[in-house]
Amino acid sequence: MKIITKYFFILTFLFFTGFVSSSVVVDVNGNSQFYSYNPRLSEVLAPSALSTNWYWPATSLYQLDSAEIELLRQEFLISLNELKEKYSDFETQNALNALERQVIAWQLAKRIDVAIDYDFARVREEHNPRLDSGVYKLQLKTRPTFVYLSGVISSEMTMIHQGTTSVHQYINNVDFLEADNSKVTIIQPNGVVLTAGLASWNKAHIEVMPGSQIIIMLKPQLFGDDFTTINERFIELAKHRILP
Amino acid sequence: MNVVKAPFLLSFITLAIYSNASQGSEITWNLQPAGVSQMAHGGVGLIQTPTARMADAGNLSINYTDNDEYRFWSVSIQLFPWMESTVRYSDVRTKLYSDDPGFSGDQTYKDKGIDVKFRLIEESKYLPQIGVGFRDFGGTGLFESEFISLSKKWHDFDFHLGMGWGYLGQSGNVKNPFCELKDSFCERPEDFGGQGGKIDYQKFFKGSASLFGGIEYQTPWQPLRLKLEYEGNDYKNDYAGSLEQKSRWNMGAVYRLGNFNLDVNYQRGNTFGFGVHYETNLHTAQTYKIKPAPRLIPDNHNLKTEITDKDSLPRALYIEAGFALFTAHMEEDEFIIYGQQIAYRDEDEAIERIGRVLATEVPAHIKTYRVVNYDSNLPMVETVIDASKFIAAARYESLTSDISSTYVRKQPEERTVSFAQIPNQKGFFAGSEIFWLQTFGNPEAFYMYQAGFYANAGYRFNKNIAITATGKATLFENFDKFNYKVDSQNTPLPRVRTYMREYVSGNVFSLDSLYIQWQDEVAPSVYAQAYGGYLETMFAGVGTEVLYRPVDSNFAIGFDINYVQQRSYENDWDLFDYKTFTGHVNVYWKPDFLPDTQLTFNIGQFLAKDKGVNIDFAKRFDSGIILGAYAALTNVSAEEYGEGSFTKGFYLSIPFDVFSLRPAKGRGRLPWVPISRDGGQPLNRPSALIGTTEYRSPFYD
Repeated sequence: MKIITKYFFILTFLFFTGFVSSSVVVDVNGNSQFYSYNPRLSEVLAPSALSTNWYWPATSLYQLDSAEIELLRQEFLISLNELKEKYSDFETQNALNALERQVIAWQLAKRIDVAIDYDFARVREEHNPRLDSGVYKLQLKTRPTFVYLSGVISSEMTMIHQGTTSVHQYINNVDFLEADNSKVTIIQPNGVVLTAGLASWNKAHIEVMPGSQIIIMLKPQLFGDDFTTINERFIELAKHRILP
Repeated sequence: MNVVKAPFLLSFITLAIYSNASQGSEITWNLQPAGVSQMAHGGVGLIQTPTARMADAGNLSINYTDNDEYRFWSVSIQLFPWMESTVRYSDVRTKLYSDDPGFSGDQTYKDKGIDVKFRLIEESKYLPQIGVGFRDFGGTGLFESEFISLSKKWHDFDFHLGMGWGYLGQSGNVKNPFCELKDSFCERPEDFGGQGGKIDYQKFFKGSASLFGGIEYQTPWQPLRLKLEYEGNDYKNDYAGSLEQKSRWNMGAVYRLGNFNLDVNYQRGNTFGFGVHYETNLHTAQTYKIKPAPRLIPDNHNLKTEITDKDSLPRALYIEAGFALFTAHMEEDEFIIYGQQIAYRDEDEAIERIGRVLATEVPAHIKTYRVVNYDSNLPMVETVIDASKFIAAARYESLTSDISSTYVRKQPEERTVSFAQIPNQKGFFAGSEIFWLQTFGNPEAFYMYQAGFYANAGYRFNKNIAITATGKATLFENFDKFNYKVDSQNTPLPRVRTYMREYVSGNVFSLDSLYIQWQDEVAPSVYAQAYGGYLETMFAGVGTEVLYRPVDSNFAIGFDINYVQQRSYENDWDLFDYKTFTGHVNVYWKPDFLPDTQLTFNIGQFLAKDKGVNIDFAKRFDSGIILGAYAALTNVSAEEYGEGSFTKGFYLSIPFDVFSLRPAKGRGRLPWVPISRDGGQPLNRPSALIGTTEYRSPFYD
């Protein structure tokens, strides 16, 4: 919310000075870059791309002047409240409350589905699109060291990423609430979503990319798909999360 | 008879090298367990017993297993994630093909079989995976069985338990539960229905039942899996004779080597067996492609006001987009091109490449590009491209660029077609192609073949009418081994197709066809054709066809009607006395509830004057490979038809593109026809409008 307020003032200033027709503002790791035209991705990346050894799969581009994701969050919280009224048993209430706490605290912005890589952007046109007018945040990161657990657990956790380690090892000592312990969802920092089996009948060795989110989902019901829908919406919101 | 085109065969090696049967390409850096393996008879299972496990959707496994008395060649395909089907040739080493050495020499007994297996319930925490299967159900049924199986995985162990009837339940180690419910299930009827070749429903789940089961273990060494099973057959009633069974326990090991699975096993406590299995996936089968990069549209492009180099546009369209340009027309702010797509099977890829060439070659003031695709000299589809939107999307001017939303496919407009002045529509044409005819399961020798080439020549009078002649030259064959020409089964049906051997083993040079043909679009979306002459190898006559096929529709309907007389097999020109009308109402339907499938119904009268319907089901895999099965159900009874009971067949249609290094259109069709006699036989018409109009609502490409 803070970031949007910051740029709101910049936008109003620009509006009054008449520069709003075609302009792009990009916050690249805290530094604002202004353009009065629509730049291509390679231009936006150019000032900072070669200064450090960035980990391109974990870079992300968010559009800040879109209300779409905030609307999604409100819808999610409303449907969560409806479920809380419907299912009054203690475990489910606990689980739904945990989800609610986490979603309220998240920093969300609309994540643009485009692969960001300075080398590809300079070589291939399809990886170098032109940015539409608006306010953006570009996060360039070096290789992340953490993996983020969220979902139906008592509190969110940040764990240190380990190489050649299957996803089971990350969740071994985590306190599950009323959760699905047969599979878990992994949201990789490049936007790809995977499902990994955990139970004795579907276990597979799936490693986790540094900077991923591991989502523990609600246990699906035998009849009815209320919980499956909530799981899907939770994962959809998690894709648009701004991670440190 | 199976006809295969030669260039397609030669490139088979490319597919073998480059295909990958990967399980989940997103996570390929993680080494996954080696997966399910095939059993001796073909199909996912242990050694002699099937399991409820399924292979990945689109998986094709070609198997050869050797089990002392029996040898099996089988092909197993996972049509859908919940359905697996296997076709198999069995070689019974201890029996001869027939008692008559003059008929079949010393060839051992061969039998065909087909299996199908369905997944009823997927595995979950408390439930096992449950499957039901029917084996060897469509024929003489040497190994005919039904089974229900359960599979449950626990870490690296996969436990299986099942109950089988028929061949799998031969030992009868449990009471048949259906026998408890109804007395008719206690005894299994002995004979097969009709003349073989029919599905014997009345036998299902009847007779003695046995429990079988086993364990499959994925060892810590990734390529190796071990199997242990307890089978329900006691081998007392096997076709190969009563075989000695020291133990009901069988064990085996499977080793994965790239796309191959090699297995060895020890069965019945006294027999070693082995198998070789080749696995590929029809969804992902493809080869690397060498093709020019799609043309970039530079930022300050095209300040042209007219086309100065008249050759650059046709050349660019041909080389970069596989589009053979017939002619072009410019009208105010529109540019129209007329031609035929000869490479790039995927329409979206083809239109994108054409659009990129047009954007850089055509003057800047043009606002609309129209691409009219022809086939058989008739306009099929008009694609209208909004130039400015296309250029913006092709230059990725937005974060949400979508090139396919900038053009629309539609019925060619009269106005657009009226501008076309296509040259060179009159004149001589000629061509040739190599053919390979093969047949399995013959008494004289299991595999018989004939190879040679077809040479055709003709004259086109205008865009609608042409006359074509095709001659056949046979170069290599072993058809001289034939011991008999016409089989001795006496059926009341006229011999419309059972003189096949006479026709193919005639002279080295023969006239295959000679006919005149007219084709035209008579109304919007309605195509018609008429033809007359020597239409195919066995029949001559006249005919007509009409087809209604809207653009991008899941539905097409038409009819064809022909009057034909049987050609003589003694020489190229004479006719036999047999004459008949033959014609069908043709319905083509791509159902929404089964994506990537097409159903075809041909309802009418067949060559032997029998009436009925031919039903064809075709499934298209992501790679473009199509697997189809058809059956002709007519008013001819099984006794009248003869061996096989009714006409049925399978085919695999493979685009040449899957093997070739360059993008190409065109396909090869591998048919497999278990038995083909005189009932339910349609005329091989010189061309079918459904093929000519393929581009209008593509299924094959």
